[in-house]
Amino acid sequence: MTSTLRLVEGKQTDENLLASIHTHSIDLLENCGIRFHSEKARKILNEAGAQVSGDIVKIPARLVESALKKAPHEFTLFSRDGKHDLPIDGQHTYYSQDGCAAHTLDFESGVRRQSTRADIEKMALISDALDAVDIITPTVSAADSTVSGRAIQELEACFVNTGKHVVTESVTSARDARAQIELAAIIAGGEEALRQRPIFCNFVCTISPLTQDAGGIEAALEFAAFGIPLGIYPMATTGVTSPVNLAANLAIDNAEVLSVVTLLQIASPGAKLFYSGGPATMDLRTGAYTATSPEAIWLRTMVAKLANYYQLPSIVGAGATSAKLPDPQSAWENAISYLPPSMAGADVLFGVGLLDGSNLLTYEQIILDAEVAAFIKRLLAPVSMDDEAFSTELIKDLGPGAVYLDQTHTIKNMRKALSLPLISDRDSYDGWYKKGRIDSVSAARSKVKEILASHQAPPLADHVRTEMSKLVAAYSK
Amino acid sequence: MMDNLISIANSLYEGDYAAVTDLVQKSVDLGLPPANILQEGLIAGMDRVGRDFKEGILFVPEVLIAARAMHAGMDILRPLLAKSGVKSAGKCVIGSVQGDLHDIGKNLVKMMLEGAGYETIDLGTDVKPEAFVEAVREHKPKLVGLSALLTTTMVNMKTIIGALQEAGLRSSVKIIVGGAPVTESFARDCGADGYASNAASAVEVARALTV
Repeated sequence: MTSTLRLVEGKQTDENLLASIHTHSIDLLENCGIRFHSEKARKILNEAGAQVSGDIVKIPARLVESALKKAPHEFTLFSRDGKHDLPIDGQHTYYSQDGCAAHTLDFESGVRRQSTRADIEKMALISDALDAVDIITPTVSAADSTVSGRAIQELEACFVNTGKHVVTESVTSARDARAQIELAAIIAGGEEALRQRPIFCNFVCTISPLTQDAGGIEAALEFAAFGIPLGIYPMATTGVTSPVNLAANLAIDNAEVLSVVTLLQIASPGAKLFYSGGPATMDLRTGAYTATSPEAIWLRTMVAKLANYYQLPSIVGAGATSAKLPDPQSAWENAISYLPPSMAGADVLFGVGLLDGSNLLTYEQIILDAEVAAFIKRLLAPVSMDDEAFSTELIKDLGPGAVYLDQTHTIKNMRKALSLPLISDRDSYDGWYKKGRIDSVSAARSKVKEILASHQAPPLADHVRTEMSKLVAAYSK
Repeated sequence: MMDNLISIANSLYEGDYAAVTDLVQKSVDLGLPPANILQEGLIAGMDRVGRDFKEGILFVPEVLIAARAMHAGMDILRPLLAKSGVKSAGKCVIGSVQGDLHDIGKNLVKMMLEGAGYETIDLGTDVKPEAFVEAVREHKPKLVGLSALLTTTMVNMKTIIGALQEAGLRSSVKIIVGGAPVTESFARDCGADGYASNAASAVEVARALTV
């Protein structure tokens, strides 16, 4: 018997209600169909028995069921430095950023501006230094690079500045998928080595409702064929791209994911897939995309539960507060949005560092979110309940009225038993006052400065860097 | 011989009570001047402890066991220091005020002061004003430390300071107050000389008041 106790015990499913979502999604797949803009995708599905009419593909339940059987329940996300490999085993929730915002809140001026490659580099370096951030996403678009070179440059900017696994997004053609694979292969030591240890993965967004982009899907086919893990990420928005009811939103999201799972498992049986999603709500007063309303958080938590229902690993959209500055709203919205999907057993959560509904990268928010991530990880981690942990002998030895503060036992165990915050203040009032009455956003700002001044990502060999640069230049033309 | 002093400082930093006792005794046997053992061994080690505690590298329990090791070393050195005319950092009479049974904070301050080379006279908890007066008269300390955890008992600090005043002893001592409800302004209002918000800062305040 493993004697650990957790706040929430493992992945939980609510079979019956989740099954009803499945039934409704199957109904949509069979009787409404999915628009696949990619002819290649339509052909694959058609040959497997789906009914194609124009660009609409109606997918029978049996195809979906057989695809779900082929999808692996567990796999590993490898890291280029070998020190940050992440088992996707249902026992962990990992945190990452999300992509692909168009703006950065300039760290010096505090003014919002178009995002650049340098922002990705700094974001990756900051995140590399933070234990609680597990996976790095090119959070913003490298808008200062050529359009043709953007996908490969965004990945390069991450690889150079972090040893951790990278997840890419916004790959909109088979060519760009190929570019990313070739770049990663240089670091991994060749394409075969990359197949064995994929050091990056990708997620492809569906186009809600019930539509699949041509380029994104063809990139996904390319990645899956190569063994690069893939997330399938719908973002149906209530009242706009789905009916306003949450149940309907889920049925649509789910149908979209299942359609791509089916496609990819037919094309590349055994493809490593993340059941994913970041459904959201629209604030109908303004038309603003809202990722951290109670309804959006509920929907996203259900994405994690649906993944459990299908026994698929999950990437779940979280964070991405509507706040425009790192402030109490950004903190409460992101904190609340991370907790329920973590408790539901999501394998990866997105959203670190993003404001304005995931459209604005802010370095300070990376720190605030990392603090929340570390907090939740500790909160949900297993706690030892074995005999040693109960320390009964020590309690009996010292008896009633004892003070444990000066015991060797305390010193031996304290650093493991109690976590410490990254920036949260726990000083006495006077201690806090004397240090300058620092608020959490200023503390986050200092942490950003400290990391940027001192942290170094694990280096890449010179010849690897040279080869990478050559490839990136060729693809950027 | 220098190595011995460095080892004392290191063992003290590690909170190794037995090693500090052993090394201090050895150094004495080797004929090292007690003042050097104190300054370059024990106090050098304790200063490092204090610095790293402030930096957040060491935690309270580690400071406590270091202070305990310091105390063990001092037990050996104190008679020798007295004989050679070296004075201790000073005496401190300390206690939790009348009506207050809480002593963890007071004990931490006591250990930290001892670690910094002060000689403490601990009057315990629920200490009446007259007991403080008596102890000051008998021990002639440089410092008096008053501790309270409750808003209902901290008012007794003023009573104690008044009693010392009445006995004609107030000007002979510096008084430091502390405890969760106590603030800098309360300390001023009740007539204390210093206020420490935690055990580590108590040492700094004590040093500043006893130079």
